[in-house]
Amino acid sequence: MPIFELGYRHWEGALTPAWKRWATITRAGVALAFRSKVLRRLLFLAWAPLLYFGPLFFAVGYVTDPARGVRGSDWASFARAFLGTELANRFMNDPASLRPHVWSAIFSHFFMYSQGFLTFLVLTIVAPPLISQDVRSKAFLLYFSKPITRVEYLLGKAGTALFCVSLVSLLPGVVLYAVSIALSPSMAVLADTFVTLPRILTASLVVALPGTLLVLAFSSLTSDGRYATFAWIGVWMLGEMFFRILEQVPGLQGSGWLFLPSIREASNAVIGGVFEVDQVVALADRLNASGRSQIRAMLHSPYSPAAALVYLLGLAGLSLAVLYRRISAPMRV
Amino acid sequence: MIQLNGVTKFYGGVKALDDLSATLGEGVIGLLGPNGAGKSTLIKVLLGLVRLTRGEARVRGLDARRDSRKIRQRVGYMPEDDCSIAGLSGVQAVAFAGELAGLPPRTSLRRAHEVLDYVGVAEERYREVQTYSTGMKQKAKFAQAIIHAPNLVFLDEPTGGLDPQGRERMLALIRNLFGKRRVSVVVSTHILQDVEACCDSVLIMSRGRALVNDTLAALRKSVDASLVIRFTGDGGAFAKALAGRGCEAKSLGADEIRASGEGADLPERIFQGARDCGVVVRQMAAGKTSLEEIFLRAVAGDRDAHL
Repeated sequence: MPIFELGYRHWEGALTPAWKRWATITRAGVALAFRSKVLRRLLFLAWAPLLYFGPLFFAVGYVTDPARGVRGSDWASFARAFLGTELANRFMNDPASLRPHVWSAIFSHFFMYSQGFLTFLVLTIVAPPLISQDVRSKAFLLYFSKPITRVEYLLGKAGTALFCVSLVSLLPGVVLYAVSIALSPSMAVLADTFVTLPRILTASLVVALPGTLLVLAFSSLTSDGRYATFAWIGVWMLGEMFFRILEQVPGLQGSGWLFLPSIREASNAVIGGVFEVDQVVALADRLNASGRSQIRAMLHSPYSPAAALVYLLGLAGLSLAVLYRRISAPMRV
Repeated sequence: MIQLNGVTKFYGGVKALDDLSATLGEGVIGLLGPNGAGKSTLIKVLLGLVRLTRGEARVRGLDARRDSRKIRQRVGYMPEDDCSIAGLSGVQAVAFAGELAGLPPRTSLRRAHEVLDYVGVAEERYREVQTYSTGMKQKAKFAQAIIHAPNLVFLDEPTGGLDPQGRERMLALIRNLFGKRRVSVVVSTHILQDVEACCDSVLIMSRGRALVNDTLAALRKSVDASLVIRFTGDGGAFAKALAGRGCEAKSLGADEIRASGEGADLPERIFQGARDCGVVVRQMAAGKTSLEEIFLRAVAGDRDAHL
């Protein structure tokens, strides 16, 4: 009998709960994704919009402080540049009732433009190889020979992409909210704007989820992540171009379904609905002599948020169906 | 350990498993069969990865259809394919497999080092798995299969692509796993010598059915009523003379022949046959049937039955 042996030993101990196993896949995926220098730089860049929106929140907080008398200051000009003169003046006179609308306008702009595009970029880097690599090496068998279900596998892979995307959408959004509260004249602002936090969460999901599932579906269809990348960029950009062309067709301009080729436009319509942008647009229009405010030009989507939501849910559902079928395929061979 | 009762699996119109019934006991079991015999499908059925069309499969008393998660918790599987995750080092890949099986992260990392020591992966464990040689990859996959301390392991072509030294090491690991750790092993392979080298029993499959299911010792005993004769002289004439005396003769080489037949007087009839054709018998020994012969006989019999 050996005195010492580096042999195989049995092990008995407490296992992690089954419902947490998908997090293992997410954790490994995130660790691998963070090895990308491009992603790390992009995540750093994702905070750049805060350099604009942070001061903007400071400006709208600053100009509503009656003690300061700052209507002619640079901060007031900054607020006017974003909100338009009429709405900004009205806001200075009655900040409490208008603050939720103004904050909605700023946050919806934040999600529709800067973070929406950053989400697209992050998904382009992170998501395409997530499943295609497993297709190439047939790693499905490694996952599914362990006590992992296909749903948990999908959750783990989607979790990887969603976590990375949340670093450019949800996290900056929450930080921006915290900063804006901190820069407000009083903590009463918290009561006026408490609904903003769940809206940020919802908007982040709207921006991230359909795109994530779509790229993962592309990823599952190929063993080479580059093809999934091309497919995702193609769908996103060509869809956007097609949408712009359709917008110029005279007979189609009133159509409520014109947004269909553009994932971005559909997301923006839903984000507009989440932040109830139409209320602030209507108010700004009323105040504007011409009847069409600059807020309308920035934030108003002519498409129904409900229809856009149905479209995005349909896209997500279709992507899920493809994903489930594709990851089940190796088991059928 | 494993009970199969009328197991049938269709992939569309293709019957992959055909009313397969067998009972497999503890030990190292060889799963043999030509391509398309249904070996991989059987393993996937036992792991609960594919649903049975008909029949019942049980692994350690657990129903493969209903309790697949529990089965996969207690069973290890080493797939034939690469199955590596890009970017992970050997130790990370093995620890990851452990975490998927429910081991806490720290425990999993510690066990990963232990099982890599056991399978013989040294400093290479810190390199990415995708840079490994075939032999190293096989060892890493083996480690991934056993990290969560299963009591049954399925190995799919464990010696595929290995050099003779690597193959011998892998077979030694398999023998050790049951011999010293009492972990039963099912080895699916095309290489008959591997089964002969490490298995206690064998299940030979063809066209989704079980043709032979017995221990190797019993199989050899049942067909070993033959004698192997080394001789000097005309082999063709000797074979004819043996046939004339009611013996079945099969040439094993220029000066070697296997003779079989009914009756206790078989040696005497062989000597008479040799005398008839002027052949000198130099050696006569009890025949030892190889697994290859058992396999070929079983598969040929199945093929003839289908013609």
